Amino acid sequence: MKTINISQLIKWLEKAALVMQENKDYLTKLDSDIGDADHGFNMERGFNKVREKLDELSNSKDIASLFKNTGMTLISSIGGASGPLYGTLFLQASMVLKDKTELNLIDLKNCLENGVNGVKLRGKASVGDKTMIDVLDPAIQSLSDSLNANLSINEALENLVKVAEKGMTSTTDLIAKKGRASYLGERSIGHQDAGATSSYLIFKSLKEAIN
Amino acid sequence: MVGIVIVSHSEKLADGVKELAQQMSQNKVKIFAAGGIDDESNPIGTDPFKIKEAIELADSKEGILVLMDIGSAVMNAELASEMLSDDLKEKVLLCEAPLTEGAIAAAAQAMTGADLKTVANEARNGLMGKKSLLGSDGEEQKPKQIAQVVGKEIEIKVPNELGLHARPAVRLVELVNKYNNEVSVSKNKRDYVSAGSISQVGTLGAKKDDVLTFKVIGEEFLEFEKSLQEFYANNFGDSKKEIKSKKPVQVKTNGANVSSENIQGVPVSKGISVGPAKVLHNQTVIVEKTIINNTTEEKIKLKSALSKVVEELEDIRHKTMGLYGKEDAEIFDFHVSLLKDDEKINEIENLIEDENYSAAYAWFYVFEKLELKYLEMNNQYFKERASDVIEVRNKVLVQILDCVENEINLTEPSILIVEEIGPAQTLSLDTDKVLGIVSKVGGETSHATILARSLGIPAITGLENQVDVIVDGELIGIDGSKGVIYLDRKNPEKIASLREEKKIEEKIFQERFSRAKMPAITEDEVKFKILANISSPKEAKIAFENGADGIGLYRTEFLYMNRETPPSEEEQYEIYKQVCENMQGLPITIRSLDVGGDKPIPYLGIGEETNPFLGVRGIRYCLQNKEIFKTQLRAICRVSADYEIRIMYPMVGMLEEVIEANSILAEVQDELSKEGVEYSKHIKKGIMVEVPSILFILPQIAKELDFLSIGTNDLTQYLLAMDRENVSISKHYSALHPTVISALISIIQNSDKEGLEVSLCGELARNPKATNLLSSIGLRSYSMSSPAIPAIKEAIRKMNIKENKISLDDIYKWSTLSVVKSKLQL
Repeated sequence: MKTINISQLIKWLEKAALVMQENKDYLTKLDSDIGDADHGFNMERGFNKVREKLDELSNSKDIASLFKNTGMTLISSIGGASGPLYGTLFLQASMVLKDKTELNLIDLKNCLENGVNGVKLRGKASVGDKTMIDVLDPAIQSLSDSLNANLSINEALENLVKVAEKGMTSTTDLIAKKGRASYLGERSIGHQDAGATSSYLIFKSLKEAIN
Repeated sequence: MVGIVIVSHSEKLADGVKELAQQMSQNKVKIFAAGGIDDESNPIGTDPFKIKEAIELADSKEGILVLMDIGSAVMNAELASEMLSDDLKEKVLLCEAPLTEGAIAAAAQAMTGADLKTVANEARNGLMGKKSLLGSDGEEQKPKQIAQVVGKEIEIKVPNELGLHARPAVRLVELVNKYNNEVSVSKNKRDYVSAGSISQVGTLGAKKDDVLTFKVIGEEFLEFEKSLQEFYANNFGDSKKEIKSKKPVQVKTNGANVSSENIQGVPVSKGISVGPAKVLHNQTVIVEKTIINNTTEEKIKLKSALSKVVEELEDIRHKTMGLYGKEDAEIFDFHVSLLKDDEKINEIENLIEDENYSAAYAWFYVFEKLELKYLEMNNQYFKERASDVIEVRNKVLVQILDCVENEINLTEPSILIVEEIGPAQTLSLDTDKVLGIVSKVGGETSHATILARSLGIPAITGLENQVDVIVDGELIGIDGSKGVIYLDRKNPEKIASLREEKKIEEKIFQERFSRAKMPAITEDEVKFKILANISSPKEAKIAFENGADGIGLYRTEFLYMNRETPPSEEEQYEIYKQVCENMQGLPITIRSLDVGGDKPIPYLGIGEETNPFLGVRGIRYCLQNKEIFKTQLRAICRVSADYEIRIMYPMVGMLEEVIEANSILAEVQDELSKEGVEYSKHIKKGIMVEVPSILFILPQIAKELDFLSIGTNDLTQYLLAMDRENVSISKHYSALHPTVISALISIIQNSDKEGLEVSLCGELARNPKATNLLSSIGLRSYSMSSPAIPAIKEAIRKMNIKENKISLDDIYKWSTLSVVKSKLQL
């Protein structure tokens, strides 16, 4: 496969909503260990709102407007810090997708890169801070690598999910530097970060929706 | 003027901060709150669109300052400002100042018309005032201070007679969990356990004078330390005059005794009963080890079972509170906290998750271990908690396995013979049918035993295998005060004589109380009103039985003690109603919350005072804390719809206090009218006369009131400026001191003149010789503790006021306490 079209992306968002619902308790559990126990709830609510809008969004004129609407919906409905962060991810991604109705690997990499940069600016976090950046940043890197190796979209997503998973599990041993968990200092060690986990789940849904 | 926007995860917080800042700016500055999100079930969060809207509303030509709490509040405020129109964008400043202090400082500065930069700087300096107050100098010092505090140790000796038993253990755990610290505790420096877990704190088995060492890590160390010291000073919530824990009665369990005619056990609840034995064999509950696949489902089962049982126990607690009082109700605090013990629950969840145990087995496994731990303890009192653990364990198993609880249903009045009985089960017994309880296992301080006493059911326990000779259905007799069981087939004469004794006992009981219930009228036909002082529904019942003509003083402060938050309106309503029901409709005088002085209640936040007896006491506290006062008044007014209720304010010293209290009462009544809630419009209002100043303004104060009640204990103390607890001066302390007698004469005469009802409710009221004197002065209404009522009524019936009247002229001649004593032959 060379490109991803709007209906596949809609399938992705649908899948993501389902996955958030299934993992609501798991995410909440992770967040309750070192945070404020709202992540599962917030993600489920946010993506569920997105899913409710998918019918009308299937008529989006381009991917930019699909992502923009998704971003705005997440921002207005999540409530916690993941709202502005994931919202920004989609909004920033939409900026580079004007008039596009299909994404090739370059587009995918470009838009996610723009999105992740937005997240970094918004949350002021870097790799190693025990946040979603520990998943998002290597994910973009892996897309660049796949591009250079001239891999197909499917293969690239395969690798991306592996890298994301590694990033997610790497957060367990880190000390939290951002967010509510950072108040715990060293006591945050030994717990996997909830935001990194939801980022991984979003990528995993993407891979499964495209396959 | 610069506009201000307050952003918080919590709508309440944002609105509250706005209110504070608004107060500062005298409503001149545009301040808007953007708190919470529009999701009723989970309202905590921030919404950038709400923030954007607030910024647009707060827009002014000097600019808009945005203050926010943490995390998403910051990010969403950034997002919101990005969404604004270009010209507005430039006028917005997101400021890192602390939310509350910053908002107040900013509001004050904005009011002066200062520009955005100045207002923002002022907000950033908002902490200065607090810093100088608390004496911390500069930010560099801060980390060091925290480092010193981290992991600090606190040592205290267990102060109370019974040690860290169930009730104090529950309070301690609540106290630990109230603050954001990690606290571990050890007994005499042995193993440390989590201080936030009831199962771990409860099984420490700390007795009086054992040393508890707390290791505390966390930011709220100081708060915790302060609360802990208060808890300690409060004798761990136990009464200081506590009955010494009685020595357990030694029970002979040798063979000779079993084969002899009668069976000897531990007497735990008095009374005589004769009736058929109902032998119940407790089914030993065993849950087989079951391995499951769907761990999530099991965890959900566990959670829902726990919440159902918590609900059930809260309900039982509530009912017990109404029927038998606070102490009995607190038994169930221990049960509920076992169910809320996060560490135990985690342990169980881990067994489900890691070992794939079924919820029922995991629960059973962990509680079985806990039960053993209690049984292994060498203090009888702690050992007896095992039956509580079993009861809780079984209640949860019933829910998880969705089966029916073992209920005790009797077809005819019988004496129960059981292995063991739990407190909740005891309460569920039909008191008309249960003539007595005989149990193999248990003790004097078992919670079930305590409740049996409250229910008035004779009980004998600690019998072990001796009861096995009793056959289901055979006729037996029990004597609860001696702890002996008699079998009809072996000792029919004794059964017959027990029946006789029982009859006589009932007759004496009835005669005594039926006489007590008759009015107290002197030989020369003067009628007296004899009322009771009480502090719980249970005491109201006793007051009624002892013939009280009403309640003259219901002390409500006990409702507020030994807990972490004030009682709700509903809780108060239920309890006041129960008091009225127990008094069968006789008039009840409810004294509003009387705190301060010698009655500390930590959460009410009365600071340390150099002279608490002249500080924030009684009505003074209520007028400063209107919400607490209004909640109580609402509950009282609601009860007045169906019963004759009178409200009495304590510790009143001036007219202003009465006027203010009455206006708050009127406000409450007005609110109730608007809500369509019923109450009596003729509720009578009165005060305690404790502060001598009342003597001098009685005519003025009388216009606002219907009655007075003289509290002789405090009145004497304030009149003589003498602490009655201070032994070096207390020989002069007497409510019959000439000064006090003169004061009483003045109060009684002036009340009559002003048409005020007056009664007396101090200890003086229960002294028959004083009654004689006071009746000469003209006092006809007395309130006292219930057991004194029958004797006082009897004394009054023998009185002849006209013949024994002591003239006022004579009384005024009594110049010293010794003269009074000799005149009254005290």
